[in-house]
Parts: sequence; structure tokens; C-alpha cells
Amino acid sequence: MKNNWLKYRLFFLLAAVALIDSCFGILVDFYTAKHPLPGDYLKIEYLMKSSDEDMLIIGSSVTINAYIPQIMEDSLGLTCFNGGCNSQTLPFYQCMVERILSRYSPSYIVLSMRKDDLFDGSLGFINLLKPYYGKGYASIDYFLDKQNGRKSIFLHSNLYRYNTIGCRILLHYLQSAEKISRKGFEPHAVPKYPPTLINHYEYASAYRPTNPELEACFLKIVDLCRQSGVRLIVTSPPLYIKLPGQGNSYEFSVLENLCKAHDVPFINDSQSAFFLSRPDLFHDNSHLNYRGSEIYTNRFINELREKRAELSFK
Amino acid sequence: MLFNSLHFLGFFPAVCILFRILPQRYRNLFLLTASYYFYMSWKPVYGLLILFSSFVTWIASIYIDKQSERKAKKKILVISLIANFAVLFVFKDADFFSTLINQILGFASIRMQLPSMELLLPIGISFYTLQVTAYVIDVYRGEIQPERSFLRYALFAAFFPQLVAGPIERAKNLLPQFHREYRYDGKVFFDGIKIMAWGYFMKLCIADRLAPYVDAVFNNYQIHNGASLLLGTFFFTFQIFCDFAGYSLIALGTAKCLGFDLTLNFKRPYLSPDIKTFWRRWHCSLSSWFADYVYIPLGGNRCTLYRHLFNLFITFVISGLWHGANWTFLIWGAYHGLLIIFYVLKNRLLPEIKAHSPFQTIISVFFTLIIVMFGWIFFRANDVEGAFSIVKKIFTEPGMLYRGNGIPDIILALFCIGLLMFKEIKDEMAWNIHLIHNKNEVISVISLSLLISFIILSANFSGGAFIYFQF
Repeated sequence: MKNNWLKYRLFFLLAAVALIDSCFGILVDFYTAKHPLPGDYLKIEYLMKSSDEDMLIIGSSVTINAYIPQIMEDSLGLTCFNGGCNSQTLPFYQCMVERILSRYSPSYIVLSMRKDDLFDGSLGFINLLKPYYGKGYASIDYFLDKQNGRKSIFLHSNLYRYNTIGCRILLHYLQSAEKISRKGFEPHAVPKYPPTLINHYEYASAYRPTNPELEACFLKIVDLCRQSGVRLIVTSPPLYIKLPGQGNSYEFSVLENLCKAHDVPFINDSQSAFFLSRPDLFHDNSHLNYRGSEIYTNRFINELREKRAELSFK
Repeated sequence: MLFNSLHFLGFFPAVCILFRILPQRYRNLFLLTASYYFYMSWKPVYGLLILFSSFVTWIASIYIDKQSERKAKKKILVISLIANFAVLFVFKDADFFSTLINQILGFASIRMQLPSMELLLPIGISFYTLQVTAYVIDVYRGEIQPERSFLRYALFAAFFPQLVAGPIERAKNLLPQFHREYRYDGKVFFDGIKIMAWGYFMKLCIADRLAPYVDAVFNNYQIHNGASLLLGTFFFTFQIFCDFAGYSLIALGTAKCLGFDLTLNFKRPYLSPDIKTFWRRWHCSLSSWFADYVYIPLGGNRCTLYRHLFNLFITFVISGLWHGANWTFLIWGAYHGLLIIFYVLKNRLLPEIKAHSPFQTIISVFFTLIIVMFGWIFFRANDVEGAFSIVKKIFTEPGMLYRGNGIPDIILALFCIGLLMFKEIKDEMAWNIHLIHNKNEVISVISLSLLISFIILSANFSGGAFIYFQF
């Protein structure tokens, strides 16, 4: 008997790991039925499951530090939430827009885009959505399968999908309860030394093919918003980088043409002369500090008002 | 192929199964084929370099054995060493020296520039070069008999578990194992899996979890304060240990699963009470290589004190340069050379100062860890200027800690370091607490399954290659 047990210990080891994996899955499912996932997931959970604002802003880290929802609410008279998430690109935005529109239709979705959003070689940090794999969200499953390739077999493991999140859940009880403050906006401090201008102004802005997968995501977002009667606005916040092509970068011209073709307003402040002369308003070359965000949000509101005819702002 | 890749996850079980079912006479050939496949899956053409090194040293060893005159033996030895080290030099150091010569020529206003070759460094070249040269030197010294079968010798040179980052095996340990008949032993196989699991824990849960923080801080030291750089240095101290020792353990476990025993490369180095002990415990196979083939031929300690100190210093400088022709490695090697010199002098001049009580031992271990940690700044910094700036900032620029990917990541990394150090202390003190190595198989299997589950739950699976691959 003992010999048999020893012979099959590798099998027992694999079975024990599978059992632990299943038990862990049951525990996390039980937990997530009552609590949102902590950390970065607070915002994702909010966007996917509970947001109800009139205006939702979606984008990457640049977005988190650029738009102050409170100022926008006070000026525009509508509720607003900054749903920017670190290191994200179009596949993530598409997943979020799909989840939001499956629940309700906000009046506006502001899609904040970077220069390379249509051209990136990868699907971005979509692995952040691993905990939602296999939970009935088709787009999330699709992008995760695509991103992970052969590794997507591991996505069936609960331990793998909740990798590091288990630790965050435990820590959640050791530190003060996390919550989404400032309606999703996270201010950046004024750095000790302002950033140095990255000047590519004189460089030629060369042709690059768009990534068809990312372009399809963008068009899908446009289509979803149109079908739900949501006004989509594409923006790009200020940078402290002088872009190639004397400020007229090829990448932004592609985005602009795409927006024009689909009747989507595009507010591009990436090369704003005002911000390019004010390094004191930046945390680094791509992110505004809190002084910069205040000024930028007010300027953005004015730009929205200038387009009031097509956007029906008050 | 990386040990932490999906490719290896398929490769390793396939090798284990085929190795077991094949008749004995085909096993070495199969392992050799698997080893070349393992290596060539990265860049096929570089497989020729191992083949070249293997062939040159094998032929040299046969001819050395045939010669009766010492002079003729020496001639063959020198030719084979030059051939091997020339390849290593061309791929690893040529660009550094051509830049250096160009700078000197520039200072002398001579209008001549040596071209830069910018060759892609073959992974593991420093490791297998040392292994095969040690073999041919051992044959020359008459310490071992040359291996007559090229197949067996080629397998010794290219055995996949230790091919790309050691341990640098000695022929007298590994070669006889290729003569033995393989017999499957479930316990040995399972022991191999346990060793591999701990290696993966060190690599994926500690080294790869710390890497983003270390990279962020060291690659952008200008924008970080002293506190963040100090934490970055502390993290790098454990990153490099866990990365390299983790690799060595995976190699050891992989070989064990196939029935082979490799040398233990790390023996709790961060619990060393002095710098000499540290070097006996850190990268043991390299330290013993340098001791046997550089330090002792230079005269070792059987000479005047000054010559002894010089031998120590030169050995450490060369070991620094072995990591790469770069001023940072040279300074790191020289720094350790000086530490060893201080240690030797202290023992000569003040032999009565030694740690006796447990408290004194703890202080000694802590002090050794700090001086080793300081040396890692030079090892990790991208250039010498950066290294000195980091040192200056650590002592002069306090401030808020950089949080990297967030506090949970830092806490998770610290927790894993705590687990590791608990195990290291337990092993050092020989405490009779065993989980995955428990004699009770039920406890052992449950502990191992918990460890594997913990690895899946807390590892950083997007980490890259092993640090020592670049050497």
C-alpha cells in the first residue's frame, strides 16, 4: 500500500494543487460576491458594475491626472467620473465601454487617447482583467486569450487569475479601507525639479501602419456609443513633448481623420502652446501635476463649450 | 530556452519521459540532442560555438594524454586555452577594449578607430568556457583521465540543466555520472521536483517581484532619493541572490529528476559571519574555479604576505571582469579583493578578535551583509558615475520612499524574503523543522502543493530572463 502511494505521489501532488486551486476559487467568488476587489480593481469594478454618472472619462494614467471631475460637475452641471486606469489602451477601453453600456447609457463618454494608441504593437496591460476571465464577458475573454496565446491555458486556474490579488485582499483588511476618492481623479505632486522638454519638433513624422486590432477596438467603441445614443468625445491631454513633424504628428492626424470620418469630435491639446511653455504644470513629460490639472480641466471645459452646438452642453 | 518559460514546461516532462523509456545505450545521445535543442532554441548558430569548444578541448585532452613530454603537453594546453578564451574575448570583451583603445588613441590625437563588433553575446559562454577549460587543465595536471567518447564529453560540456548559468561542473564530478546506468527512483525524482519548486519560488516570487522596483530605481537614479535607492539596493541584494540561486536550484532539481547530481552553488551566503565565508558560500563553483585555476597557480598563500595579498586581489579583479568587461564589474571585483585583504590582515594582526557569542555572530553576519550589499551598488549600476551618485544620494538625500507598483507588491516581496530567510536560518541552525523535505510523505506532498499554489498565486510571471544569462 505504502509503495503504491509513493509511486503515485506526483499524481497526488497535482491533485492537491488542483484542489487548492478550486477551493481558492470558491473562496474568492464568495468574497467578490460581497466586496469589490481592492487596489486598481476598485475603479474597474466601479466602472463595470456601479457607475451611473452622466459623463465618464476613460483613458490611461495620463487621464487619471488630467481631468478633475469635481470642477467639471460644477461647471457643466452634470455628474462626472474619471475612469482612467494605469497602462491601459484601446482593448481595455472597449471592454469597459461594453460593460458600461450593457447597464446604462451615460450622456457622454470622453475617450482620452495617447499618440500611439492606434499604433502600439501589443494589446497593453490587458492582463489586469484576468480576474474577469471566464465570467461571461466575451470581449475580456477574447483579448486575454489573444494576449496570452498558449499561456491562456493557465487562465483556467483561479490561483493564476487572482495572482497577487489574494495578497491585496488580505492587505485590504490590514490597512485603512480603500475607496475611490475625488471621483477617480488622482493628483500628481509638483516635482522638485520640473521636467526637461523633449523636443522632436524638427524630426519628420513618418508613416506607420496602424495596428488593425486596435483600430477595430476604436471603431467598435464608436459603434457601441452610436447604437446606445451616447455622445463620444475623443481627447488628448497636454504633453511636455514637442512632437515630430513640427507638432503635426502623423499618428494624431490618423486619429483626427478617423474621428472626422465617424463624426466624433476630437479635442487635441497634446501640443497646446500654453502647456508647452509651462514645465511647472507637469509632473513629468506626459503627466500633469495638480496645478496643471486644474488649469487644464478649466480649459477643457471651455473647449467643450465651444463645441456646444454639436455636444449640447449648457 | 528559459526555465521559467512555457516552452520548458513542455520540454522538461518530455525529456524525463523519453529518457526513462529509452534503452540505456541511447540515453546519452538523447540527452545530448535535448541539450543542443535546449540551447539552440534561442539562437541555433551559437550551438556551433559549444560544439567548437567541446571539440577543441576534447581533442586537446586526448593529445595531452598521448604526449610524454611535459613541454609538448603544455603547448597543446596553451593552444586549447587560447582558442577557447579567444572566442570568449571576441564575443564578450572585444567591444569594451576597442572602445578603450579608441579613447586612448583619441587622447593621443591619433586618427585611427578600431571598429565595434556589437556581437550578440552567446548565452552561457562564460560558464561553459570555464567548464571545458577546467577539464583540459585537469587532464594536463594528471588529475583525471581524458574521456575517450566524444559523445559523453560533448554531453558534459552541454548538459542542459547547467549549460547556460552553471553550476560550473568539474569533470571528476559530472563525467563519471554519464558512465553510470540510469535507474529510475521515484524518491530521487520527487526530491528533484522539491528542489525545483524552491528554485522557482526564489526566482518568480522574489527575484522577479523585486526586479521592477530595482530597475525603476537604478535606471532612473537621478530622480530618486536616498531612501528609495537604499531600498532598491536592499532589494537588489535579494534579487540577484534569488535569481541566481533560484536558477542553480532549478538546474540542480532538473538534473536530479534525470538521476544526476550537480554541485550546490549557494550555501546560505547571506548568513556568512565574514567575507571569506561569504565567498565560500556564494557561487561556490565559480569561487572554487578561480581558486584552483587562478589563485593557486599565482602562488596562493604559500609565498610572502605581500605576494599572497596581491594574488587575492588579482583573483578578485579577474573574477569581477569575468562578469563582463565593464568598469563597474572591475570596481566590484577590486572592492571584494580589498575586503578579503582587510580580512586576511585583520586575522594576522588581531587574531583574537572573533565572534564567540551568538550575539557577536549576529552582529558579524549583519555587518558582512551590509558590506556585501554596498558592493552590489557597483555591480548593478549602469555606469561608474551612476554608482557613485547612488552612494552619495544614499548618504545625503533622505526622503519619501518610491512605492513602485504599490505597497502590496513591496509587502509581498518582503514577506517572501522573510520566508526565504527563515528557511536559510533554519538550515544554518540545523533546526529539525521540515515541511517539503519532511520524512512523512503526506506532510511533504501537502507542503509542496501549498508551495506550488503559493508560487502561482504570488509569482511575477512577466519577469524576464535570469540575470546571470548575460554573463
